[in-house]
Amino acid sequence: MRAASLISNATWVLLGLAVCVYAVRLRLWDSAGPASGFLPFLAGLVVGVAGLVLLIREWTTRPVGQSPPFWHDAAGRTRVALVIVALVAMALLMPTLGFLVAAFLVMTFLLGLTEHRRLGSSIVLAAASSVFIYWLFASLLQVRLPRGLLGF
Amino acid sequence: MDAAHHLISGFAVILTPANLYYCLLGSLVGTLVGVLPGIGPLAALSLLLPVTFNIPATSAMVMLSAIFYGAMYGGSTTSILVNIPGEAASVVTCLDGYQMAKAGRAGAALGIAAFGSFIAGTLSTIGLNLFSPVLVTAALSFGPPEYFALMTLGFVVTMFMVGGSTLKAILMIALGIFVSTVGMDVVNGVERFTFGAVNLTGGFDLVAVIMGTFGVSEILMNIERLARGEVVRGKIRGLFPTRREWRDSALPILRGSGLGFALGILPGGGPVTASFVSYAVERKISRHPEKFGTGVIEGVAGPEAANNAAVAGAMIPMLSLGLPSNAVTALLLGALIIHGVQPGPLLMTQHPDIFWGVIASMYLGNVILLVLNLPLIGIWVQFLRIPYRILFPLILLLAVVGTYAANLNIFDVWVMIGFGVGGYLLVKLGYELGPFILALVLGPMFEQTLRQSLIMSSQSVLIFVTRPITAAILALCAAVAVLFLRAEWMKKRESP
Repeated sequence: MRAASLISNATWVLLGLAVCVYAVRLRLWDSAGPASGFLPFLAGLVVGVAGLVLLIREWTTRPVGQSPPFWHDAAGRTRVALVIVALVAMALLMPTLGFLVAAFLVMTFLLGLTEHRRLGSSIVLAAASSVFIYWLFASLLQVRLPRGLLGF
Repeated sequence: MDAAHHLISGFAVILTPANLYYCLLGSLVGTLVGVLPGIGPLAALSLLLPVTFNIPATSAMVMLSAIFYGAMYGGSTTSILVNIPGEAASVVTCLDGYQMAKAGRAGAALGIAAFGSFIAGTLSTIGLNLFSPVLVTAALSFGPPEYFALMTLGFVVTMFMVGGSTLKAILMIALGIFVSTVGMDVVNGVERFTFGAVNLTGGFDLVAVIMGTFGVSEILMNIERLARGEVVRGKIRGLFPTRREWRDSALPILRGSGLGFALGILPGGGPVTASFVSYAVERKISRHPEKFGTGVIEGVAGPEAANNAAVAGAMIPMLSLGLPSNAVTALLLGALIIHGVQPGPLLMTQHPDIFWGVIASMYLGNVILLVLNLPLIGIWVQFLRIPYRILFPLILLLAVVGTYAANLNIFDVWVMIGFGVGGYLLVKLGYELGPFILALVLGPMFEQTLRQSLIMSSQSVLIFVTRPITAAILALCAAVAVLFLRAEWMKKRESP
């Protein structure tokens, strides 16, 4: 956890610095008063300074005993990673395969991932929920969901 | 009298088949959201926001508000029967509610939670009804400096009201303000932090950011630790409290209503803070504080009343001033903006149907929720038996479709994923996401009022001290900061 805190605090410092530099280029003040860069500059400054204080605090505080782990357990970490992969896959597949097919594939994967259900029941549940959500949004709420190569 | 007249017109708005349907639907969804652990009102509102795009603004606000207060009702069911809070404002209800259920008094706990919520919800809606028009009248004389000062007060109080580190809360507010500046500067057409990306010209889509920050990150948190809860078995009896239970609960309910209402109005306050403060107060003034945590009815009645009362309290600055006091009302404010309605003191006169319709719907919603919660308790218990492993893929799918539906743009789904992963990591690192969303929603208005104020004063910052209301609010900011810093310093000095 300590390493994660140090990394995140260093990231804040860098982000704050980058925002300030970019904001200065946008101009901080003009004849009308605060210009486009003024508020981002202030925000970046606060982010950077707060990050620096947190970094120094974390660095100088002697940890008492074992630092708690960042992840609850390895299985939990894997589950989180796979859910993120599923979301990324959904975003990638939706424009090409269409919503229905992409949703069905991702749902099957997610149900199988944690429930360890039989493939058959996962497929049935994934198909039913995908079709229901498609019907809800595309038919009932008239949302134009992406259609794939198969036309749906 | 005028408020009563307007309220009648509000009832005329709400008592149409369409609005009644949305009020009922919102109450049902809210209760369900409250009952199901792992999805809070904020995530549910962000998930369902796109569903409201095709319905009128009044109906949308009625439904979304009903989800907010409905979740407060439903949250107690899970706390009492499973010992897992259905949503954050019901955490303290677990302490005595679950003990009561284990002792065979689940019915009494559920009953007093529902009746207490109903009483507090109705009382605080009366407060909202009476207080909002007064605030609107005062706010009509407010200019940009006063609004800037009010938002500053909101940020200052939020910094200190959040549970964790104040410094981290400050960082989250600054980050929210920074993210809100991404896109084209409407004053002079300069693109900021877009790096040439056309999709970023309009800034980050609010729905995508909220859906990611609260919806996706909450799912990732839950999926990492798949907590299992055991639902209390046996038939639930005695939902109507006995005379003795009423006697023990009456004052905690009234105190909870008052506390919740006041804490709801405060920036950074809201149902979660209200329930914790109410529990602490009840234990402090109790003649038997040692029994708290073993199943005393006051430990359920007070906090449940407080979290419901806080909802109406939180609606006051949102409806009257256009200023959210917490993340949920920030989202409701975002919903208004998405529907093309300009929030602020003119809402009452320009959109009386929304203003009074929402208030009237809250009276009605409280009755609906009482009816839904008690007789249908058996059905809600069945929902508790659905494993989260089956629910979460459905919620994720809804999040993806909901985000996409807002602008029919796949880029927003990427934004949602990015903010979802970011939000998850931040929560794990001990950051509160509420201040981030509050700053994100208020950011554009904060910048605009700052610029307008300085233009008004020919760039003189003295405008913030020469206008009496502005100066008073900013002095209050300083006082709040000094008081909280002093309290923190004293706490540090006392701890070894």
